[in-house]
Amino acid sequence: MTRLSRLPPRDLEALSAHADGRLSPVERQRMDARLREDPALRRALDEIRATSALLRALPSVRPPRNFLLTPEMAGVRRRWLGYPALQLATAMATLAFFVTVGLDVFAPVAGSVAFRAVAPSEEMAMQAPALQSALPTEAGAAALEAGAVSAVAETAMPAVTATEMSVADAVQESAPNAPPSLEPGEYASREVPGVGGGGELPPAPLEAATPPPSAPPAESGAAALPGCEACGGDQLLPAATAAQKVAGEAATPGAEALTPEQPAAAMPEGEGVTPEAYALEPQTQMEPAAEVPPPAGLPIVRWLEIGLAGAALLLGGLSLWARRKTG
Amino acid sequence: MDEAELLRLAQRGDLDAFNGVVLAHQTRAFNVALRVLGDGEAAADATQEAFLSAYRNLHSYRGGSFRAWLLRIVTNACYDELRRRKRRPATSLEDLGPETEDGESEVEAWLASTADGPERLSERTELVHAIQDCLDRLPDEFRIVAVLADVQGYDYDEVSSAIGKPLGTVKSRLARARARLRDCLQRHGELLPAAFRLHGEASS
Repeated sequence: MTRLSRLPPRDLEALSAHADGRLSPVERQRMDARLREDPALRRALDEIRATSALLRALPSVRPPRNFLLTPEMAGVRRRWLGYPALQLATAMATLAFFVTVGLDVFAPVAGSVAFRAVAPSEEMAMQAPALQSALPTEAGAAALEAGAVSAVAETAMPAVTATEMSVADAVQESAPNAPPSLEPGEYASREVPGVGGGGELPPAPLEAATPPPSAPPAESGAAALPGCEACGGDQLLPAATAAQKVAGEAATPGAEALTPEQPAAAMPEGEGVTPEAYALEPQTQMEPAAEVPPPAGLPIVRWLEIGLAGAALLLGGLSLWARRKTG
Repeated sequence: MDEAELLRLAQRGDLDAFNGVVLAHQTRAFNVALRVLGDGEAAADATQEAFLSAYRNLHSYRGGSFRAWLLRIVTNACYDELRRRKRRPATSLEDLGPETEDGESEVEAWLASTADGPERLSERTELVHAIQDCLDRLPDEFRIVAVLADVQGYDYDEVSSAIGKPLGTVKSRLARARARLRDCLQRHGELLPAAFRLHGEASS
């Protein structure tokens, strides 16, 4: 007896399609010609037909029950559609939360100035007394500032130097019993317009100097810095920007001119405190911008973080509930 | 109300209209699942799952033959069940127990409706079991094609659309499925109808 599965696959397929009348007319003619010649092929075709007929004769079985959908079964659909949406919302809220925290942590100056609004003034208040206690007199404080200015000028940062200079001016103007203070102030007002040609720079340091004289002489060293912080962007910022136009040339000679006014003893001290002066710089620069939004309670970024964290937790809880509900 | 109208209503969320369609198609759908899965209970579950899936995805039905569209969903439900069995082979062995009983009761119901005498009853029951046994021995992809084309009588194009394979694949799988079934059934010689047996003897 021939086993059908031993037939060449092409013949088997052709016979099977022939049994179903699915050969093309050309194929059919060719196959019919072969069938007339080959009794084994005829038998194979008959067997295929018989097998197919046997399968078709299998009884149709009545289903054991109806497969009608109940409203509950159809309702499952809505919950299942809601579940992925909840999952997505949870993921989005979590992602937004981490992005906000990331911005807050890794880009505090650029990303969230408002968040830092409270911090600088506090740091300033802490650092200013430290500076004062390190030096005995206001003249010493002026010397320190001068030292800081010279140190900064050497690193070629004109804008910062100009800011420091105006701060130094303010300190020196506010301390009447410090004799050398007048000359650098005069030097700055004399020299800078000469080089840069900017007319608005001299009034700025003078204005900045006006509030401090009312302060007691003993505190003037410490009061000068917060005083400047209070005077805000209107006075300091134009001075800094104008000085930027002038560039480092004007500032560097100014700073160098300051150093000979003080005894050599002031220099090592000034150099010793320079890192602290560096630490102060960004804050003095930042103050005008930081002052703009009033620091009232928690900043917006923090509220956003709290809100997003809450939303993520709530949505996550809802997702879990939906998942348990739908099984 | 004709089927197209029922389907339009069902697409707008009318569950009763959809259930009208379910009643019209459930026997055919269940029989496809029964012959592919060889297990009454699993077939019932797969059929229910298929109708639920059809209702959920009714928006993707764009007219044409609903029978062919539904057949594809039923076939997919069967594939899902077969995959589940492969993941849990122990469970599938247990499932084979009740299947036989269930199949038997259905076969008896069918036999009772025929005019055959009691002596042929057991013979026919055994023949049905033999065919189902041979079907079960086929690889899944062969069995599905054999069930759709031969047991249920769908044409090649419907089978091709149901299994998502080209026509050539359907022809090839059907031919090989028939050859294997023929060789398997040959072992149950005495149960086979006379015509079937004659050919077997003639060729030996």
